[in-house]
Parts: sequence; C-alpha cells; structure tokens
Amino acid sequence: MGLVKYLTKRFFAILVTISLVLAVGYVLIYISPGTFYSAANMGQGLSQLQVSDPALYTQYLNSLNSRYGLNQPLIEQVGKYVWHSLSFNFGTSFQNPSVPIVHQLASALPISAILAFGAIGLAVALGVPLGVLAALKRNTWLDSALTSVSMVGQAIPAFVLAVLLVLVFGVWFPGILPVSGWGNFGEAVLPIVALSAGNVAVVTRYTRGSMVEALRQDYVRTAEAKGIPYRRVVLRHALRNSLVALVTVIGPTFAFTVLSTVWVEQIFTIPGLGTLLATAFQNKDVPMSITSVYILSLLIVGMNLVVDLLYRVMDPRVKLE
Amino acid sequence: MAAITATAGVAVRAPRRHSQLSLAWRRYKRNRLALAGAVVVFVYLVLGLIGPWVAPQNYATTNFLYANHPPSLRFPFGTDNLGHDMLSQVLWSMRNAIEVTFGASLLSLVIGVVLGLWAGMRGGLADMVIMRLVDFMFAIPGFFLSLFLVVAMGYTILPVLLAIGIPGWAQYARLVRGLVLGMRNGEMVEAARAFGASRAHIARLYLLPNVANSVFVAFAFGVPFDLIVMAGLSVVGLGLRPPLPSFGNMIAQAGTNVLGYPWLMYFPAAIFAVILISFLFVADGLQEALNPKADEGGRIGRQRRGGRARRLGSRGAF
Amino acid sequence: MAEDLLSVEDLRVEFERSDGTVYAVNGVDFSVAPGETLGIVGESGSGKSVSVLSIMGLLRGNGQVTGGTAKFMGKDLLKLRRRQLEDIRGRDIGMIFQDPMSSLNPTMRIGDQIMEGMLAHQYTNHKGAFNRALQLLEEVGIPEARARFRSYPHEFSGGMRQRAMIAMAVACEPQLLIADEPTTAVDVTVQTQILVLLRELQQKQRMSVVLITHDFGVATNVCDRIIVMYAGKVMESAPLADFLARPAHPYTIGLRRSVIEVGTQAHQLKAIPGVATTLMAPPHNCPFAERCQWVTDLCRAEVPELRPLSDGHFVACHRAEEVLAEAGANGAERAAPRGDGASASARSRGAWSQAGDEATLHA
Repeated sequence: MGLVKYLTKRFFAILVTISLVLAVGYVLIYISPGTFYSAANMGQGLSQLQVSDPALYTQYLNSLNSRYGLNQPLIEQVGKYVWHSLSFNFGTSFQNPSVPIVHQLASALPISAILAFGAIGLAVALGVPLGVLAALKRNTWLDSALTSVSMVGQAIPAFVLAVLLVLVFGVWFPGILPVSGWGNFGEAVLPIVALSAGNVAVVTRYTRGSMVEALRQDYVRTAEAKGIPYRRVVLRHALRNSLVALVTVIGPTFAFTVLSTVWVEQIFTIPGLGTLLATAFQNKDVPMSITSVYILSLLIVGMNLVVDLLYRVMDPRVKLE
Repeated sequence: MAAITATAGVAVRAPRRHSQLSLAWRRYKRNRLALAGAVVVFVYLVLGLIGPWVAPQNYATTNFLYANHPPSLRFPFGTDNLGHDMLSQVLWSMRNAIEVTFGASLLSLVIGVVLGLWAGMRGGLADMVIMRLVDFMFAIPGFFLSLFLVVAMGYTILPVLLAIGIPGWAQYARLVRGLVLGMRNGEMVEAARAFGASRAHIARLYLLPNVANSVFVAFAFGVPFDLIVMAGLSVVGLGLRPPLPSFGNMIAQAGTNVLGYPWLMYFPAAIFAVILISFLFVADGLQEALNPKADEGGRIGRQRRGGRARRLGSRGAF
Repeated sequence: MAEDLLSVEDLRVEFERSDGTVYAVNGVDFSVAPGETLGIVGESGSGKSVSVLSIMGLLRGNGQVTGGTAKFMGKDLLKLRRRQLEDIRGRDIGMIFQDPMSSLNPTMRIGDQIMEGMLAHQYTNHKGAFNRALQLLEEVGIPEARARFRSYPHEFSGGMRQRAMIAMAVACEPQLLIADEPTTAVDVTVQTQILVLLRELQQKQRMSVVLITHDFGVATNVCDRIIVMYAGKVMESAPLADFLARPAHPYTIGLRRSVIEVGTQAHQLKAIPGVATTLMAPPHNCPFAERCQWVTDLCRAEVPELRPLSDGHFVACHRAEEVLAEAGANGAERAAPRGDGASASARSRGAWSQAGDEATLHA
C-alpha cells in the first residue's frame, strides 16, 4: 500500500477514534448528576444569584446555555461539540471563561510534552544500553541485578516514585534539586526521573529479551563468520534487529507515560495539561475536561502513528496496512 | 479469591487437569519471588478482611488533640492533620482497595470473557463490531474513560469500582477471542470433532481449561493494575472521597505533607509499593507456571517482555 | 601433511546441558589440502557441523572445545584470540550456512551485507567493495545485480539467497570455503545449480572446500575425499574412488544402503536399525556397536582407532578387513552401476564433473 493511501486510512481511523472519545466523554458528563454548571467555579455564583435575583439568573442561564449549545437536542450537541473540537475550536472553559481554552493549552501542552518525551527519551537512552549489557552478560550477577531492579521499577507507579523523590530531595537532602514548580531546567529533572524509571525498566527488560533472542539468530553467526568485529556484530546486526521489536513497545509505553504525567504533575505541582485535566474534572468544567482528554489522546494516537511508521522504516519486511 | 475457587472448580470438573495443576504448582514453587509475593498477598488479603475489626479506630474518627502526631506507641503510623490514626487508615484502605480492585478486575473479566467468547465463537458481524471496539479501547488509555465514569457516577466504593472495571474488558476480550480462534482451528479440536464430539463438549473439555488458565493469569496482572488506576484516580482528586480512606489519597496528600510530616508518606507509600510488587511477582509466577509456552525464548518470554508496557499502557483502553 | 591448508587433530567438543554433558565431538582428525574438496558426511547430531563451527570459534551457548588442534596456515585456530580469529574468518576462511533465510540479516540490504566483510577486512576501499559486490552478484548468477544490490533478503527466492550467501563468503577470496549443508534448505533443481556454482568458484579462486552434508549423493558428486562421522568420531576417511569401490565401515555401508535413488524399490533399501545416539559420556566402546550387524565383544569393549587400511583410506572398525571382504564389494554394488564404465572415468576426472554436466543441461 502506498504511503499516501496508508496515511489517509490512518487519518480517518484516528478521526473516528477521537470523535468517539469526544462523544463518549460529552454524553457521560451530560448524564452525570447535577446541572452542567453546578460544580464549576461559576456554579457558586449562579446558585447565589438564583436566590437573590431569579430573573437575572434565568437570563444568565439562558445565555450560557445558548453559548454552550445546551438548549439543543443531545445528539445535535454532541455532533457540534465533536465538530468544534476536531476543528480545534474549543471555546472557553467554565472555570476561566475569559481565557480561551486554546491559550491555556498553549502554555500547558508544551510542559506535558517535554515531560512525556523527555521520559521516553531518557528511558531509551538508558534502557537500551542496560538491556544490551544484561544480554551480553546474561546469567551473571550483573544480569540478575539489572533484571531484578527493573522488575521492581516496573511495579512502582510514577506517582509513588514521585512522592519518594519529594521525600529524598525535599526532606533528606534539601536544596539539591527543586521538588515542585516549573520554569527552569532543574525543576524538570525530578519529574522526568520519576516518569522514566518505570520506562527504563520496561526498555531494559525488553531490550535484554530481544537481544538474547537476536544474538542466537543465524544471521549473527553469519556476521561473525564474515569476520566482522564483535562490537559491530552486536550493534549493527543483533541490536539493529532488536530495535525493530523495541519500537513496537514504545507506543504502549508512551501512552502510559502520558497518563503518568497527569499524576506526576499533581505531585510536583507542575502547571501542565495534567493539572488542567485534574482541576477541570474536579470542578466538572465540561469543556476543559473533555478538551484536555482530547489533547492527551491526540498525543497518544499521534505517537502510535509515528511508531508504526518508524516500525515500517526499521523493518523492510513490514508492509503498511 | 473468587478466581482461585474458579480454577479449583475446573480441576474438579476435569480430573485430568489435576496433574497439570500440580505440575503448575511445582513450577510456581520454584520461583522464590513468586512464593514470597504470594505470602505478602495472602497477608494483605487477610488484613483487608479483618482490618476493620482490628483497626484501633474507625476510619472517620478524628482526634484534633493529636493532629499530625509522629509515630508513637499509641499511633504506630502517626496521625494526619485531622488526627486520623494512620494505622487504621491503612487497614481500612486495604479493605477498600480489595473491594474495589478485585471487584473491578472481576467485572472487566466477566465482560471481556463474554464478549471474547461471543466474538470468537460467532465470528461474522458480532466479531467485527466487538473487535473494532477492542481496537478503540486499546488506542487510548482506559483511565480517561474512568475519569468520565467517576464524574458521572460518584466517588464512593461502587461507582469507583464500576469506573475502573468497565474500561478494562478489552484486554480479556482480545485474549479469549484469540484463544478461541486458535483452538477452533487447532488440531486438538479438529481431532475431537473427527471423533464426533459435540460443540458443547469441545468447549467444556478443551476450550474452558485453556481459556481459564490464560484468563486467570490476565486477572492476576489485572488486579495490581487496577490498584494503580484506583490510586491514580485519587491522585487527580477523583478517587474515593474522604473520609473514605484510600492509598491514593494518602500518597497524594503525602506529596504535600511530606516536608513537615514525612511519616504520613512512609507507611502508606511503602505498604502500597510492597503490595504492588508482590502482586506482580505472583502474576509473573503464575504466568510462568500456567503458561510455560509463553516463556519460550529466554528467561523473559514474549508476553513478559514489555509486559507492563502492554498491560498498563494499552490495557483496557478507552 | 605439511602442505595441508587445514589440519585438525584430536578435536574434542562438549556441551553443558541441564541434564549433563553432551560429548559432541570426540577426537576428530581430518585435513584439507589446497584446492581439495573434502566432504564430511553423517546424520544430524553426528558432530559434523559442530566440528567446523568449533574450529571457527562459532560455537553457541555452552559448547566448548576441550581438546585438539586446528592448524590453518601454520596457526592453531583454537588458540587464537578473538581479534585474531576475526581477521581469519571471512578473510581466509569463508563460510556458508544451511538456511539462507535465517542466515541473512533481514534488515540489511544484500549489497551491504556483501560489502561488509570486505570493508571489515580492508580488502578494498568502499568504491572497490561496491564494484566487487556488483561483480560477485553477477558471478553467482543474480541478474540485474545493480537493482538486486539494494534488495533485502526477504525479496529474494531461496536459491537467490543462497547465491548471495555464497557471494558473501567468497568476497575476500578466501583460501578455504566451509559449506555447512548448503543445499539442504533449497529445492532439488536449485541444489544442483548451487553445487555447480560452488565448483566454478572453487576453480576460479583456487579454494579448498569443506562440504558438510548428510546427503551421500551430493558428497559423492562433488568431493575429492569423504569423511564419514558418527557420534562425534570419524568412522571412515577415504578418497572418492576408494570410498565408492571399497567402503570398509559397516556404518558407511549402512548409510549407502539407506540412500534412495530414482527407481529404488523399498525392498532394495536397507535401513540402519536404531537411531543415532547422543553421547552423555566419553565413548568407551565403538559408538556404532549397538546398531552394527558385525558387532563382536571387542566392539563393545574397546574404542576402535582410526587406522590406515590402504594408502589414504582410514577406517575406525575392529573388523574393517572382514567387512570390506564380506560386504564392501556388496556395498559397492549399489554404487557399481554409477561407478563403472564411462561415468566411472568421468568421475575420476574431476569430482564436480557430473554436477557440471547436469548444469549444462539446465543452462
């Protein structure tokens, strides 16, 4: 299949997936108890107004309802909402009606992206060499040490590690690295470490496994028989083919990392997308909560597409489908 | 627990499985980490069951005279800013965690197995629709759906259980469908059919035992994953609402309290981590013991390699 | 013996397994003269592949050389450091493996895989390696070399992959080519083509060839001398003519009776009873004893040494003379129709001639 045709197909698949996310999110919030605005910031003001000036309240409510299209039938609301979101026309949030959601995203998204991509990058940069090392020294103490550590690392979720890091660098050794906030390089270190630890473990174990398998392959023996220096045999032949398998695991790992940024941002009080999402859901800020999920989903789905293309590039046997 | 009895049930129905189960147990016993994990999980389950009775205080009891009290004889785990006894909080959290995670995993399992069997046995349109849905659920983390479900349903035990359990089905459905398809076309079933075995007979004798093993392993991985999701919901403020105690709440609050009152973090986070690791060891051990074939090609088998990535990242996606 | 290119003496290889030590090679001797084609024949598990792999330092996992020497151009390959061995592998000794699919790197272009060895050995510069790779592709019979240079292994057919393997192995003009079951995984017609190709290259580059095969037909078609291995030991070693006319080991005779040729009726076949054994202890008797119809108490008590029977003909059997007298002629019977008359002289002219004739027909 040609690349253009493949991309078109994938584009529509993504469109359907994302639309479904938006629609399901909207409907679930729609049927949730309470009125649309009851929990958001303006809910309080509105309910006071309802008591003090019912007429003005009704007027406000009507104009809000028409602004958010709530006076239309549900199916129409959903359709419109999905369409607006897909065309990146998010409107304003309930919490912060004077600032367009796009502006809030513009400052929050880069932060979360740096965290997620930083964590994945660090995981690959550390995990691949460690995995290769474990595979080359397999069944030695080094191998078992690396395997055990990464097994534990895999089991601990990022938010627990984040709290632990806050303890270490906030209580035991204060002043080395900042444990909260966002704005300079130092403040990015601990969150990225917390996020990538599990990923390092995943990548290490995965690389080890596929390297052990690759080193056993006949083509590695062929390369050795050709008299290729062992270093190159390991890197160009064994590792190069292991990476093909590794690429496939990057997709799911990235998805989980994006999810983890939501948690880790809470612990380190970082004003990223995760914080937008958490505040929005806590306050039932309908547009903001759906939009933040939408953007995070887009990030994940986009990364999956990139991974699939990368897989295609790395393994000539794979055909796009 | 329910799942364990389920496997035992299989053993009773098909006596031939006895030897296989004892073989599996022998394989499991060899894995020391898995054994240790099983002990911890057992203690956790017992504490979760009896916790509410042995806890020194009710989870909602506050004592402002002893707010933020460091660990002492009276309060072994210390107290928080409202004077909750942290030991009681931990014990009650275990109870809540067990109810929510086992309930949620079981719910995912039931939905997933039913849909997976349906898709695999029926094929055709049903298969196509269900598999499209599975693809969709795998594309985006199920956590996001959980968020919406919690908002829609509320912040007590049952809603949180449902919110975690509903998005988790796709994993089981895909697993079961794959097994059914593999076996429907497999030689074993073909041979049985050649001998004139009926459909139901084949399903009961060949399909169920094989499916049961794999599903049980998936369940063993599912419970700790749901534990993470449950705590994760609390971290973004959408888990069990206080005064209901949960590990997630304690850990999330510890993040802000850790500078002044680090004991609020020590005990819940450490216990939570140990439980998670133990569950994973148990699941790993079960996988090795029940699905030895999945472990071909080195000590880290295909399924275990990147196991967490696949499981946690795209498992039960939205 | 001084002029031998490769001379292996008393080679021993063991594998550590969870259920004990496997004695895969138990004191193997053989040598290859310049320009000679040596065939090593045996069932799978007889240690023939393991022998050459261990010489090349390519043993996998827990296999270990526990004794012996392998002199190649004056150097003992078994005592070389990895770096020194890497210099010899691919440069002086080329190697071809059985399964051309799994033996080629799936993510590397064929041309790059051919060039790689030349560049590693600094056989020529990048441009030279590129040109030689193109030339090699043409030489091994791959059309449109320039386009095929950029292909990946999965885009090749089985025969083409094996041709590419051969191009890779001979790229640096090695003096010795080891072919480990090169025709086992390919179709019969392709098999002949590959054998012809090997012969052409051998003559052109004046290489010695060690051909490992389980196929007696292949071995007798192309080899100057044949070694029969069983349970990690050499059973018989003889020049082709002797081998065809005067086989003296019961196992050799058994193997030849097992060969199925076109027109062979089942009653004419005579299978060797039992299965090939895996030795879990060093041999203390004739390893073939339990399957041998000539077996005596001596065979069960003492390991027969490889001893000369006539000039260049060695055999490891306590009763070789009797076997030769009694059954050797019988055993040769089956080969006789091919071994006498015109084809016999053709055979003695050159080991590869018959394959060559067939190839002319194919071409």
